[in-house]
Amino acid sequence: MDRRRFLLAGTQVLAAGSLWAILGRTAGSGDPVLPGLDEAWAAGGTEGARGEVVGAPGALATAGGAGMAPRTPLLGVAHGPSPAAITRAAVDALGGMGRFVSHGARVVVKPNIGWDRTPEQAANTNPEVVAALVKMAFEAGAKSVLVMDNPCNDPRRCYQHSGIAEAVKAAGGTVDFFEESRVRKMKLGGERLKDWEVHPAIIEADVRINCPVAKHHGLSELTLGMKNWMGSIGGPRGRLHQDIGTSIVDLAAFFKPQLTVIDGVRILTRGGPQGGSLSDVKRLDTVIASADPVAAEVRGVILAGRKPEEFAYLAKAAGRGLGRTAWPVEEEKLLEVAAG
Amino acid sequence: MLRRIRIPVQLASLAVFLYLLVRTVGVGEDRLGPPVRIFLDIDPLIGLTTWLRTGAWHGLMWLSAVTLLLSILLGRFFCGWICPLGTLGQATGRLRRPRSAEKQADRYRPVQEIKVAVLLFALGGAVAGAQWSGILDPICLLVRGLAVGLGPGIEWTVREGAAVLARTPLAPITEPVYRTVRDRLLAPHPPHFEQGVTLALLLVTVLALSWVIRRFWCRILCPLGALLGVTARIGALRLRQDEGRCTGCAVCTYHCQGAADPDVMGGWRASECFVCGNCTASCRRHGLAFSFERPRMIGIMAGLAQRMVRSFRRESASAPAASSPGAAASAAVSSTAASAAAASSSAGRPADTMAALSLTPPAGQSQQPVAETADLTRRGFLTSLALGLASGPIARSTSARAVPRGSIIRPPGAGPEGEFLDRCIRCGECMKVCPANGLHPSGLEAGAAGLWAPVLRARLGYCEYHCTLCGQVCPTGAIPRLTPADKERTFLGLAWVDTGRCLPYAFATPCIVCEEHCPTSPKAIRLVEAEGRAADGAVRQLRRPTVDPKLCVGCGVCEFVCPLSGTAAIRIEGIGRTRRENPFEISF
Repeated sequence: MDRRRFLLAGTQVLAAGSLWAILGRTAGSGDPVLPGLDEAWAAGGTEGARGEVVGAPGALATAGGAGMAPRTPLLGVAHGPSPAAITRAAVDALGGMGRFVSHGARVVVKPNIGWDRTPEQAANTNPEVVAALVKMAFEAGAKSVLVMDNPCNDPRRCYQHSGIAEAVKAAGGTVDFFEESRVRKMKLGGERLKDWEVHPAIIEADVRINCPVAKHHGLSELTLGMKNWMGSIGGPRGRLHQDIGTSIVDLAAFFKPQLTVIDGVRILTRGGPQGGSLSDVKRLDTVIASADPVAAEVRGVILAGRKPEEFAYLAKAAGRGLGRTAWPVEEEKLLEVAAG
Repeated sequence: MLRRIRIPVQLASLAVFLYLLVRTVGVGEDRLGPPVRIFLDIDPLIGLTTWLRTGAWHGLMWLSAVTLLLSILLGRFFCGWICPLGTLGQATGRLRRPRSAEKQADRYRPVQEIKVAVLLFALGGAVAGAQWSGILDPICLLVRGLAVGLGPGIEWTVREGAAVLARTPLAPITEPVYRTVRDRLLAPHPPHFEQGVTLALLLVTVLALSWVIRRFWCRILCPLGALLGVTARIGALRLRQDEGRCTGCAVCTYHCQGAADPDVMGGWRASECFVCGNCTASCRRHGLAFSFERPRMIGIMAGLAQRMVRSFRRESASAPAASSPGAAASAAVSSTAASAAAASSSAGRPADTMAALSLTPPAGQSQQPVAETADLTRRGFLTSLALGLASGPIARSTSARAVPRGSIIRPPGAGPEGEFLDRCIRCGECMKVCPANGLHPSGLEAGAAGLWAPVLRARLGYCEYHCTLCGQVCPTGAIPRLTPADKERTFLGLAWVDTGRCLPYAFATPCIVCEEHCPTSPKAIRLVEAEGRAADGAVRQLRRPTVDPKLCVGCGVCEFVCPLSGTAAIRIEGIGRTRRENPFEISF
């Protein structure tokens, strides 16, 4: 990064931070209750791994409230009927896209487009969430925004029926297919994955935005951001499942996203990761954003009504310095976004 | 003049054919846009044999009757103007251009009658139970050879070539072009087919034979050409030869595509003529022209009726000893067939069978062209028909035993094996369009009658749950058109867990990849909690995949994604599913 870009980015962060401070004082002191989240929230009031209180409803009133230091929050959690609006709000809570995307940056957004399913079936990332991220990246001055995944089903059907290809193109982004002819064997330097076939477009980008959907999974019970990197690699991916926890931490450590946005608009509670039945889909209308992939993951677990302790890979990821599994409540910013 | 129209038409036809072939690919939509199978729909050999086999025409196959009717008027125009294999063969032949000194009259060879035998064999087979036309038809041969044989190599070259170019400074230009081409014309994943090399070699050989004799396939082997030759012969198109202008220079025969003897006065062969117009264009003295006459069909019909009446009288007069040696199988049809042969062979003079098989043109062609009389002999006619008739039961007898074999899994919605093979013409369109590369040409495991018919090889690809493309491209309805809703309830087979190989069973190692990919809702593969003991005695809590046979549709994605090397630990088999009619043959 040259000096000019550094200064520019610094100014942007400062500006965004001060903007947040001003907005936070006014909006944050409003009604903090998130009615649609009651169920998930109940499960959220658990002790974090290090004994700090995480996302307890009682603490909401103080989150981002008056008197707190105007620090950039660790997590932005937005709830509301419009997937695009809550995505924007959650990222804005962190200081806006400008904090992550500098002018002229090449951005990759990595959603989950794994299955030939419709958005209502919640097996893929919500197209509106993806499109909102693409738009925000361009607003922040991105030179290019590439959206891609390595789906399990016929990639064309997945891109089409997930609604993501169309939404991204409408937002001005580029959609590309994952091609095995383009992968390169790279050193992952992981605990289990020493080297693997990786798509260079993802690793060569300046900014990686991980954009998974939270959903049920037969092996890991729940799949979120770290497992989403499976869609950025080629090779015999099925083999990773034999020690999936270590594998996905290795992947997360390698890909190191600048921003993680977890789509909790609709989540699959059963029949994941592919779903298919609308009765297994629960609407949570929530989006979680964080620069810390582990914190986002932990928050996603809580959102889905599960306890972070049940997922050993989270502690493993934290142990490898990828992020935090617990945080003081004031580092979490909760937003209720009305329609419109 | 004729030639000047013919060449652009021919090239356009080839271009349309190739375009439709590459567009036989799923682009993510449920429905396939372009009419990719139109060349198979207009093919009269496929139309005729399918009608003989099934008594019905599927979809647009009535168009093949239009082709046949048109060829009564226009002769073998299909061969000269439309057929893409003919055009390609012609192009290959042109690669080897004889120097003008080497030019010699390219005259009719008796060996050209082989194609009539091939046609009779195909028709006999169609009557008796084997759909050979799929293997013998030129359009099927070409579609299969390109889509299944050469296509994968071409796609690989395009992909890898683009990947190389992407690393050069040319990338900003090549990449957008490549992406457009890839997303519209290439398969979602680089395809691969079993027997691809064999089918490619077959096509290459057929084309390369044009090197030896111009349009070798079209002149000598093509059963469709033979069929259209019959209609041409009884049709209305004639070559008017002006004897007064002919100097016997034989230039017209250098250019004649079909070796139809345009310079033999009164000996021009309608059944060999592709109506290419080369002779009329090349005759320096303008002695040749095409014209229409009263279709000879009318006279032949009358003659045929007369002969039949006469032979019927003769037979009823003599003793009823049915003496047709060597053709016992066709005893019932022999009398009519024989009279038809006598009628259709214009001269009826029996030529030597050995001569009919010699590759060299008859001697003495340079100065005094004489009409060769080497129509298929009555014996040849009967032998090929009898062979065809006999081939049906022989082919069937093996496939009948193969039906219960679990490894044979046909495309979604295919009927019972016999019914399926009756319709399937092995064109390979379904294999080309399959987005998951699951359909492959089968070998002989389904009997000779099942050669190259599509079979789902779940270790190599699978059946995409919502996809209905194979039924949309099938020209004969062997694979029915299904709505997505019907497709999701169509049973192809059943998945069986091999607990001796499956990791959670065999090695107490966690793995759920098959369950993850199982597309039904609720999932047909369920994870059952169990305690497993590893070899070192360690007890582990495991989730073991267990198949619910009532939910499993047999799409094969589980077998495809099973992460074991070699044989999968979960495999689909046809056992328990006899396809459409009774999905629960075994009660679970």
